[in-house]
Amino acid sequence: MFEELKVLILVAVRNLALHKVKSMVVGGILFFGSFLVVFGLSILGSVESTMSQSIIGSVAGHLQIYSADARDSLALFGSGFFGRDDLGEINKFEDVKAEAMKHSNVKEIVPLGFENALLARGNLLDDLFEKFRATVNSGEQKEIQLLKESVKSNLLNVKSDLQNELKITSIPEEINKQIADIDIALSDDFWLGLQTDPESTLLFLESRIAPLSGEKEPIYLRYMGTNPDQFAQVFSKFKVIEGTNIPSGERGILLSKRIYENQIKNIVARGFDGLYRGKVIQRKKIADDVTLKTLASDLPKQYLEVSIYLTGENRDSVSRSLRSFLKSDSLETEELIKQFLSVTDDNFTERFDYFYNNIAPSIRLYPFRVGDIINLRSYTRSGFLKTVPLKIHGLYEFSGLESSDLAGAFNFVDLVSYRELYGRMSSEGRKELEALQSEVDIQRVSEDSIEDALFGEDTVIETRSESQTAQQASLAQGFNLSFARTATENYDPKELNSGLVINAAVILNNPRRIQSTLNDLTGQFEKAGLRLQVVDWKQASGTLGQLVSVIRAVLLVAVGIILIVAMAIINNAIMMTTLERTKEIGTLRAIGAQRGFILRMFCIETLTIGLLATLTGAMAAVSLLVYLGQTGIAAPSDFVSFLFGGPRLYPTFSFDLVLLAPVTVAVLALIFTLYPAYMASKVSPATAMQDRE
Amino acid sequence: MTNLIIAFRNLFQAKRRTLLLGSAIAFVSLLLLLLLSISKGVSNRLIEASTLTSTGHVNIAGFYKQRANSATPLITNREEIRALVRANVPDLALVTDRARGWGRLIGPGGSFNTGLNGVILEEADFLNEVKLAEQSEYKKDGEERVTGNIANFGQPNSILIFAAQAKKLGVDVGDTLTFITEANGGQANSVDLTVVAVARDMGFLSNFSVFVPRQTVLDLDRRGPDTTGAVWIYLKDISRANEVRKQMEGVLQNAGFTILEHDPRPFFFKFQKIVSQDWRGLRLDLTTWDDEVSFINWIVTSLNALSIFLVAILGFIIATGIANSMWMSVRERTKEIGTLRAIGMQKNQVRSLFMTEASLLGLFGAVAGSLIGVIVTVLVNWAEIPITNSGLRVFLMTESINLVLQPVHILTALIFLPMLTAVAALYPSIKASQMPPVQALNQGK
Repeated sequence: MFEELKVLILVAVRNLALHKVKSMVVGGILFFGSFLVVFGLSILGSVESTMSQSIIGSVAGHLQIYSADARDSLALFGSGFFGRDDLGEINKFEDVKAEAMKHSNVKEIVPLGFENALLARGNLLDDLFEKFRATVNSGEQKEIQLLKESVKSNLLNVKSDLQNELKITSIPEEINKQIADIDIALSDDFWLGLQTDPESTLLFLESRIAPLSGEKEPIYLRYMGTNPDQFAQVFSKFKVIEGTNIPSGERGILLSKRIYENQIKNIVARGFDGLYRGKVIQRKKIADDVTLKTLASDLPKQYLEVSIYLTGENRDSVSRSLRSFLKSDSLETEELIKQFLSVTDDNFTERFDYFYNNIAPSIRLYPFRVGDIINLRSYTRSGFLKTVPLKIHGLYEFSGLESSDLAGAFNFVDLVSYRELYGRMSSEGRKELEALQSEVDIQRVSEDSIEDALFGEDTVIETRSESQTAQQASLAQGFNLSFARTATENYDPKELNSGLVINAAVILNNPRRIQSTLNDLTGQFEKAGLRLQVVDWKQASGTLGQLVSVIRAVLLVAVGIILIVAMAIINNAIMMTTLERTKEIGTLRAIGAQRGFILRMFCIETLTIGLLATLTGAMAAVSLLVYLGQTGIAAPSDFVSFLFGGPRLYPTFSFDLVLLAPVTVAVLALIFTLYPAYMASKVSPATAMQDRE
Repeated sequence: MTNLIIAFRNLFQAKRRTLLLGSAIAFVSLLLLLLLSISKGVSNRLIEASTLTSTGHVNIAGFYKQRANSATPLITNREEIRALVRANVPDLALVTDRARGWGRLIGPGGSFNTGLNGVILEEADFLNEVKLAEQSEYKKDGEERVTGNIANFGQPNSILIFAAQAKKLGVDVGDTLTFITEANGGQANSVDLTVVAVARDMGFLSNFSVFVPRQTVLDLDRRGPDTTGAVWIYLKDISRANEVRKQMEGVLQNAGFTILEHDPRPFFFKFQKIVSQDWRGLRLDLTTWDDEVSFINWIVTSLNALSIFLVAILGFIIATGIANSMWMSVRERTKEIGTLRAIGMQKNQVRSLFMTEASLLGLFGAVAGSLIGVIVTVLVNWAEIPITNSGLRVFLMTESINLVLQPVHILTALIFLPMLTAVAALYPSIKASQMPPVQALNQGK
């Protein structure tokens, strides 16, 4: 037995050496196949693991719990709709928490709820009128005079805005009325009133004129309500990088650094940042790249975003400095800025530095900063618009995922503010409502029907902006729907662990037991009579998780197809060598070799070259993986950086795969050798000797 | 010609080898065709879905800035612009325009933000091409029949929505939805709309738009009759879109309009940059359909990349196989080559003989593969195999597998594969041709 094997191997090696071309073809294909399988599956495995870390470590946790009555599936990273998914409600988070914590593998459970909001950016004239009121009250005549002129020139602007509006509106009579209001405010008689009845004058400006100036363009913000302290503790990638986390018991918002830099920052600065990324980091040329070209050509058109902030002394000093920098003799600041913003491949780096060193300090780089108060405006469940003022406590990012839009998609608010935006009042809000109701003497109605009553009745309703004046107006109508709290108002931290949440993230002690814990929890909740469903992080991530499944399926199918074709070719190659070697086989048979020997001879031959080639292929793949594991593969886009769990992927490999894959491929090759080998063993000594003569 | 006959004879003689290699080539050609037809199918769906829901072949849109820091995606002089298009675009299929609205659609089951497509009824022939969804597609325990009627579209405040939207909103035909604008300035207007029909989904593009009569949008936003969101130009030949865009830019400029520099992105990506520009009034922005869907073109791009990758690897493997078998065939036929050379065949004739043989083999394989490909395509399309994975459904923008096989694809396979096999046979052929006749004759012994 052993003797025969030795002979067979010797014969195999000799044959392989003799039929070099065939050996090279078969070996080459097997080498390549094994390389591809090991490399491809390793990369895929690495991506799956980094992506799971990205998803689990940012907001998903290992498991997610939400109501069994949900009509939509939970999709943390978007469901393909721009709006609220119906995820049902978990009305008593305390019950769910108590039940979940009974399981020994559950480490933490974090309450969550997410939604889109508009960042209401206030009215353009509101700020000015507010300042004006303060000045009038102070009685500083010189200041009042100065501001009065400023108000007047702003009114002239608004008037011409309204004249533009006239050209596109279907209700010119209304616009004309508004223009008439402005004309009143521009008249001398009106300003005489400032001496006699300042309050009426100011009220007219604030209530009739301010709304006409229109709001600044709003920004959409996706926010996640949670228990801020617990969230920071549980999610290890979460990192506050400016300011503080939302303190316990305080209301507020934590903005995503990514959104702050990419959507909120001054557009000119963003233009410079984008060009810097493209030109300096990615080494592209403005002249060649469409995106960069558009960015560059847009820059000078946005000069207003710089010049508007330059007033008084600042304006002069920036102009002076720009004149010498640009070696220009233009006196117009606007003209100088436009010239400065016309960047090209040659002057970009210099101007980028100049912008941040000399211009940025004089302008507002961000419309609001940590410590400021912003207004989030969102639709409540029943579609009513609600505005809540929130203090920005800080900026955060997820370590490793700084450049990912997906990971940075959320801004965090405390759960109490979330509930308010959701349309569910806190205990204090409820008291407030009751007080109001008794005041205006109406019967107690459920929260839903208040909104429905207001919202559902008329076909066309108008809700004024939730500015101070509008709130006063709605108070006069009956009761105040916004239950306006101030942004700094406190709440009892216990409210974070009880009451309404939409979903909850579960962190496990042992992540390997995801599936069994999932099953246990589902059973536990059912027994406890809680109508909940539990899903793993992949399912909870929505379309994103599906994308990876799709990529995986596609890759496996591709590898399958490649292997099939490769095997057909190998089969063919061996078949042909068999035919060529008929004479040799005949001779062997004639000198006493049994059929089985011939069969084994061919099989050993394939196995030898097969193992040799596939193992070298696997080794080649491993060396490449080790090399890439050190240098990393750069993520080609922001989206991919989320999949990679950072800007570069450092692939890893498992020994199981490195051993199993080549053996599998070699065995496959062996199977495809069986038929030609069987054909060869059928060769009778006589025919073999006759052949070719 | 003689070469062709000899090559054919050789292939016929080595039946088993021809069959094996031929079927491998046929398989690759089948795969090539299927991959091409999948990606063509997806890109066709993309064109279909986008030109129905969000863009014409060429769009004349733009921004109207009432205030310095506003950007309303609206244009005036609608009639004038339409007349200019009719007068200047020769292969025009249709010019229409859509009023654009944006806001929140609210139903009993949920709400989401969506764009409103304000449709001009007289120019809404496209609605007849919209496939309506069966009730069961959006309603639990619904009937397997279409309940809506597209003919009712156009009644005041009627609305046509898509199946996924109906499911989310929790509505059926005949139900009422509320739409609230998210108008700038904090002033929100709303309107009640009656669902007249529910259409089949078209991937995620259809999530973001619904159809209402034009007047509904104008009333909601209080816009005058000569305003619209965008003038949509449909051409008889979509490939001329970019040309027509450039041409119309010139025409409109001459007519006194100001045109924004071409920015190949959908209009909703441009708000922020327009807001921060200092001009006021109207400026036009001309785009083509692929500009407006550039944010999802990556699907088609990655499908194509994947196909190229796969075919390249397979082509490489096949080429190795061909090279190997031609090499063997050369060695097997040394004597034959010697004889041929001895009776006067030239070196280059021998070389072209082998190469002809290889390309003939490639051609046979490709023809067989194409035939199977055509049959498979027809069968798959006929069977309407549903895609059950919702992720795939979203990315491929279709409910069932949709293959589009074009003659040019088959032509590609018929040219590419014989060329590949010929190249693979190059080295063995040269070897064969360089064999001295005498030696060849001797070796054959």
